[in-house]
Amino acid sequence: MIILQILMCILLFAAAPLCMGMAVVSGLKVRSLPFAYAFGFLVMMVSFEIVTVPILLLTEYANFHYVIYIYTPIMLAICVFGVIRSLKSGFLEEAARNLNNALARIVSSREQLVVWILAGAVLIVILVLTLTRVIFDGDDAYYVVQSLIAQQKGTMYSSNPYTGRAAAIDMRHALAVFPMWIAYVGTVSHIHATVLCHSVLPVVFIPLTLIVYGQTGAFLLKDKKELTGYFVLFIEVFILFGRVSLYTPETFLIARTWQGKSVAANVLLPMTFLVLWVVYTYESSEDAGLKDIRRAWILVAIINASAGIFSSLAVVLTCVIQVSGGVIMSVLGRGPGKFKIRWRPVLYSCLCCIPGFVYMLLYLYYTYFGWRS
Amino acid sequence: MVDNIKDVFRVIWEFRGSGFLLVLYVAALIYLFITEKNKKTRFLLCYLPLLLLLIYLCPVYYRIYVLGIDAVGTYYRNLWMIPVAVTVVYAACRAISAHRIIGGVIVCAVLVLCGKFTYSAAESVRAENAYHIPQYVCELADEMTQEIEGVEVYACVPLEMLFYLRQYDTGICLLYGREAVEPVWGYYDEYYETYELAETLDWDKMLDLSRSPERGIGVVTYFVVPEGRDMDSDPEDHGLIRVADSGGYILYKDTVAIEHIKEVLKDTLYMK
Repeated sequence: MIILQILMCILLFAAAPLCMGMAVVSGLKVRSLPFAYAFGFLVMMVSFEIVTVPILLLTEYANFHYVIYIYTPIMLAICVFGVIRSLKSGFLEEAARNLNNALARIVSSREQLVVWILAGAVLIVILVLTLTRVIFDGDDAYYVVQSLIAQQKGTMYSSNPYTGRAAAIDMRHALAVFPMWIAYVGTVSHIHATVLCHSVLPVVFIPLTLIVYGQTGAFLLKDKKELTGYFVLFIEVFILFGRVSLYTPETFLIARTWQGKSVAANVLLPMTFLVLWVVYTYESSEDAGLKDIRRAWILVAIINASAGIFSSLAVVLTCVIQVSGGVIMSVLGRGPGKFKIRWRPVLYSCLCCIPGFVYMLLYLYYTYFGWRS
Repeated sequence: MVDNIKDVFRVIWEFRGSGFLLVLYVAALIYLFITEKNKKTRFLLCYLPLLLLLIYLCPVYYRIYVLGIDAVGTYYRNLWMIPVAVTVVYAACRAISAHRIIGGVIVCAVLVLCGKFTYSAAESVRAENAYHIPQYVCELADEMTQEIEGVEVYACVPLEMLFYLRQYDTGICLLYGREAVEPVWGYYDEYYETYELAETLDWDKMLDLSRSPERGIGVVTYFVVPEGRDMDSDPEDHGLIRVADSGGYILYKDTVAIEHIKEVLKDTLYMK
């Protein structure tokens, strides 16, 4: 059983996100394996949300079994599409070549080797601490139990997680179906949802956060590659010593890794910045065609669509960041020294918020007009 | 308006907490504004965060948030839009680029000194199992079995177990849950009052509530009592039998409640 569980974890947390990310990222010029992997998680979340929310709203007792039967083939189809697209576009070869070059660069310098080994060691320290220490959080009695109810009883949000009594659906939390994604992973991998949350997901989401930050560092330090290792090491120290209050993203990352708001703060929002950087790369380039620019904006739209799975607030925050990014891109204009307003980035950034608006409309409709009224 | 601005700054103050990471962020932001030449980096780490910071500070946004989006208590989450870690770390990388090794040591030391270790002994405990649930909770939950298949177990447990029990097994329902015990939520719960808050546990009163015929098959069949709990009488005098004990807690089974469930379900499919 344990071999099957490990195998399923590798498939769901490593192979599937990578393949799903390649389905989107392969079409870009600015692309890399870590970026595809991190973005793949968000593609996974969007597809899961699109499947789960209608089932939640339309089926009797929000039948969780339908999610498993319907989502699994969809996920596999996107994965297959991602592999085919990456092979056709030559992304895999390019990624393997880049990975080889990066490894060769690290191995050839003693300083780089030491820094990356230190970064690896600090990551291991963080993970060991996360797995062996417990920081109490009362919200687990809600989120973790919702996942476990779906896994053990096959219903979604149909009972009060604190007591087990039947309850009307709480739309504020129910539309953010991240606990159902955890239940899905737990069910197909045969792992108890609580064990998954507390002993498996930290091993996935903490490195994922570092991958997103590391990729941001790699883009920002493109001309000073020798500093990328330092960047990752400093981020790790920042995370390990970031619990200055109960409210920082670092506190959430360590103490509530498995909760949607933590993933929103530590993966989704940094990814939003990363993708806006990619978009601005195209928007500020003289060589980029309209097709390339539109493809880059699609990434922003996907991020916006994925936000709802984590929390309703994440939708608001991504919309604010994206539109702000669009406004600044418009003001900065194309090329150095040209200060002129262009309307396209603002327009596109607003269009990218449409999934978020649909989510908010659903939320408001079900909140004010009731569920199955 | 002034109150709104005060609220916004109070949230920043609370977010800052006991460390100096936000001070580092302000220093890093100023440093990058002055020295950073790359326009893409300026876009990502200077202009965009500055605009987001202005939005965060804007009283109009605050009013919209509080009236239409969420409670004041979660306004701090808007600060997650500011890329504090990336900005500080990127500025540090730029600052040490000429003297990487010694600079790296200094930056790590500054981050450690300005921050706060996540796993301080006062705020974390050793995990006892992969569930990260106290072992005695798992052991007692394993003993809470229902004789009639398909009928849920109702249990009454002390505050220490309340948050954990259903993370282990959702087949066990609770007489009262988190709503009853969170002081800030302000709910009154008669069961919690009688079982947990009363200085001396009055079994007659408690069992009147837990065995109330109105509860149907939802009568409480299991009670967990901390050893040394002040009680007015021996639970076994009231039809409860001691089933197990673990971690300083005793598990009692209510045989009267079980008979009541059987009576309610007599001649139904559950009993065939």
